[in-house]
Amino acid sequence: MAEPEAGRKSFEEFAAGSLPALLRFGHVLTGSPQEAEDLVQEALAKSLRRWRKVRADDPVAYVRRVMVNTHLTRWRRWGSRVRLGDVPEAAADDTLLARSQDWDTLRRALAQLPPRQRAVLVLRYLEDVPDEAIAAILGCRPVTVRSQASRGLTALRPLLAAQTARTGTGGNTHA
Amino acid sequence: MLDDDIYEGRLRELLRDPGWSLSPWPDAQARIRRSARRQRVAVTGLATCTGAAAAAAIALPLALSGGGSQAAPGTVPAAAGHGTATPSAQRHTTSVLMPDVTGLDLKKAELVILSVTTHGHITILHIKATQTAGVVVHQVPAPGATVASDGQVTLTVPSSG
Repeated sequence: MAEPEAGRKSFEEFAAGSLPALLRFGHVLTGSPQEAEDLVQEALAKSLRRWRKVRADDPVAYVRRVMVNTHLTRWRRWGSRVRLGDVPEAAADDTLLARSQDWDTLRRALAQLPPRQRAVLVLRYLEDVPDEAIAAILGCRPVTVRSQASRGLTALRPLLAAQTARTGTGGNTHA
Repeated sequence: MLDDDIYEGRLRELLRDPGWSLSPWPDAQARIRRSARRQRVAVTGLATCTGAAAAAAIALPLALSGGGSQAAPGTVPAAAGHGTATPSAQRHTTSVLMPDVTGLDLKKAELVILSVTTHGHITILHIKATQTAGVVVHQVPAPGATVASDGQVTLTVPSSG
């Protein structure tokens, strides 16, 4: 009885500790808070069912992989249900408002990207996952990951260039 | 190249914006466990349906070709839609050896079987086949098998057309 109890505890600790990061990852991946919650819930439930095997490996990587694949499968099956509008060309003087608008602009721009391209960008630039690992998650070659990332960056370049020119910064992260 | 580094940095910054953060669920464990239960039920349901479909796929051709298991006396197998049964009048049971009636005309085969299994039930399965119509091509129980005198005999006969 000690083993299942320990497994239950370790899963609870893992879920509680990784939930905020997984929700954020899901949000960036899907662009929708509701879809992100569904995705995280489904992925954590799957990992709970296979917890003994999952915890011996890398649970976060496993859950991330399930989320990406589930999202891509859903997208293929139903298509993008949330269509956001075009990228606005708004500018603001207020710093907080500008930051909020930057974020919203990126959200809309990401929504225009194909889901695999978006997944590559999110895994690469949000989670800092190496290209080889991204390739393993997506079931493709690392060279494909690099080309997808390059295309994604090119698509976002006008937006990033405009924001970089306005803020004059290039690599600082928010607290 | 320098531009790429700057844009990548900017993208990292934007992707880590607090705007992407969502509030963790207060009842996370209960929610995850409910979802896991639903997944288990869905997987079990799928497995059951697959098993039933596989069983039907195996059983149906067997039943149609007359190779199915012997049915209880007095009953006609559900799958034998074209079958006809001859009910017995008495319930005195003895064991008899099953004669070989394959290759015989149906009428002759019935006479042979009824002469041995006097109270037997004969179910005739009509199948569409290229063999001669009206000639027994398969029988259950097999020739030489011991069968109750009021037991069930199934003959498979190709029908014309």
